[in-house]
Amino acid sequence: MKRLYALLIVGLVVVAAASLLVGEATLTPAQYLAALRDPHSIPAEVVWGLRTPRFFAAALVGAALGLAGAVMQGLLRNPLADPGVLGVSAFAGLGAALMIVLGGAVIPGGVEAAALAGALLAGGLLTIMAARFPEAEVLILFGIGLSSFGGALTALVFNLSPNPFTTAEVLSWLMGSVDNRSWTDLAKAIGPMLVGAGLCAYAGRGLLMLTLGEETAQTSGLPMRRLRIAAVAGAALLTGASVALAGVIGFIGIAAPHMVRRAAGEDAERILLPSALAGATLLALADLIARLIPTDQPLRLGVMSALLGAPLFVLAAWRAARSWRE
Amino acid sequence: MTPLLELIDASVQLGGRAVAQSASLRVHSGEVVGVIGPNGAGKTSLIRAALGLLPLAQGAALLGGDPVAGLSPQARAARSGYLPQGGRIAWGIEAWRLASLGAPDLPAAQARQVALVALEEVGAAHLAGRSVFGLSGGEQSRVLLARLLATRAPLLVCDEPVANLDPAAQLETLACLRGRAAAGAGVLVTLHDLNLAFAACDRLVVMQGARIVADAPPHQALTPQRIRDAFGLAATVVEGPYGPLLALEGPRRAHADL
Repeated sequence: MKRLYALLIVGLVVVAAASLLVGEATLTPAQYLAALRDPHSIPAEVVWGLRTPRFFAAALVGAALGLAGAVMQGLLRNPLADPGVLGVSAFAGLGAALMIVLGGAVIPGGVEAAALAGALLAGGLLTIMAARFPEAEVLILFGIGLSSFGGALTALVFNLSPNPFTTAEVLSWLMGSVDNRSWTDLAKAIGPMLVGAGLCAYAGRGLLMLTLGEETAQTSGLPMRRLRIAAVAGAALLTGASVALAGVIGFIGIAAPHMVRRAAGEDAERILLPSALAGATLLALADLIARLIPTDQPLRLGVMSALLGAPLFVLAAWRAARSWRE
Repeated sequence: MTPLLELIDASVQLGGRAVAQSASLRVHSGEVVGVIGPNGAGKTSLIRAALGLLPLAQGAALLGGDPVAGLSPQARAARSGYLPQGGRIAWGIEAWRLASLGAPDLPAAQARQVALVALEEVGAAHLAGRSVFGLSGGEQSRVLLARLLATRAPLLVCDEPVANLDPAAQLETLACLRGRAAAGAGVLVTLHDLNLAFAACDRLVVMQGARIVADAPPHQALTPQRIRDAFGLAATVVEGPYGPLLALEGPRRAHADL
């Protein structure tokens, strides 16, 4: 465990350093020195005003999605669950799309609030289901239904959207990005993320108990109902705040826990913090790669993370299928 | 003395069908009570209702004298431990950690100690550091039994704990439960092996068609007549070297005499 944390922190620091040193503008060593010395210089503006918040946005969103994924997987006892699979991301995206089409984008924070509201709506529905039906299968099927419905409603929004510019704006949001995120944007996301992380930490021992299945957990003496609700609500808050900050970004919730599962001893509670750290590193790295690849159009982070994450999803599915056959 | 578990005239509906009807049952400290019956007779539903996992359509389910529906999760766990049938383990954590989940009320170090003692008790001390995914089905069953023992509950409820075990492991599992009963626990266990039930239980509850048709010491509960009625088997009690045994014969096929 200690080695895992050391490795994850070193990885994150390396990616952080690279994120500050690499970008569209190539700075000389002298200019980096200037950035350190004079906070009002242009290099300082590039490093501290553009690159640093961009790195933190990617890392925060990655951490939130990694943690939300680990929580969903523990809750459903399935290494392929994540907020995307369960429809939370789809509803957050729907909220944002609806707000943009209705012209709410001119209201400061309007789109973000709509994304958070969408995630909380999906999370609320999942929470009601989680309280009524403790079986993991019910929640998975319900989540898949929710995800499809969110997707269908978003398509409807596209369909009825008044002009191609709005459509492009919605599409751009749904592709996910941390480009041009300011410290103010970050500050708005951090509150719901912290509350979500707190709920997830509280739910941890319940997730571990679920290793034994629903019935044993239910009779274990832990307040499973409350812990289950905390897990769903926490994951919804983390996802909603992530979509609000960076749009829809998939697969981090599956990839991050997958990377650290073995090192964390497959423990559904102890995997939470490493998953958050791995998610932060992964998404910051994906953003760095997206910036390094020279393309005419800037590569979108959501596209990049899906390109990296989807093969990992297939790998995870393959491994899980093999272990189920044993 | 207040029974550890009591069902009074309990009926359970599942999907519009009665899976238990007017069932009454008591388990006291120090006894091993076996529940037997053909598949679908309602054994698991009866147990789940007694633990408050299924709502009663009628009657009452008490744990330690109080209605189970009114107990907090902690209070229920303090009064009963449950080992469900065919428990599937979701993640490959170490065996001792799995066993220690029986004691979520204790601080980590103490829970570990309780888990190690329980693993010793089920003869699985050597597996403590292994991932449960690397264990055979029988070894996993032992670790799950250790988790049940780690609850330290006065009432242990086991649903088919020997279903996947070889004969020696079956006897060891029942010996473990008998040991706990000798130490004062009450044990309620469902079994399919009539001879095992005959030998290991103080009392047998026979279920047939969602009803309890007998509740008596083994030799009174499992008469040849009742075995024929409930299981469709011909049975003879034979004096074996270690006690009475049931010699069973399958149902005669209609065409056998042709």
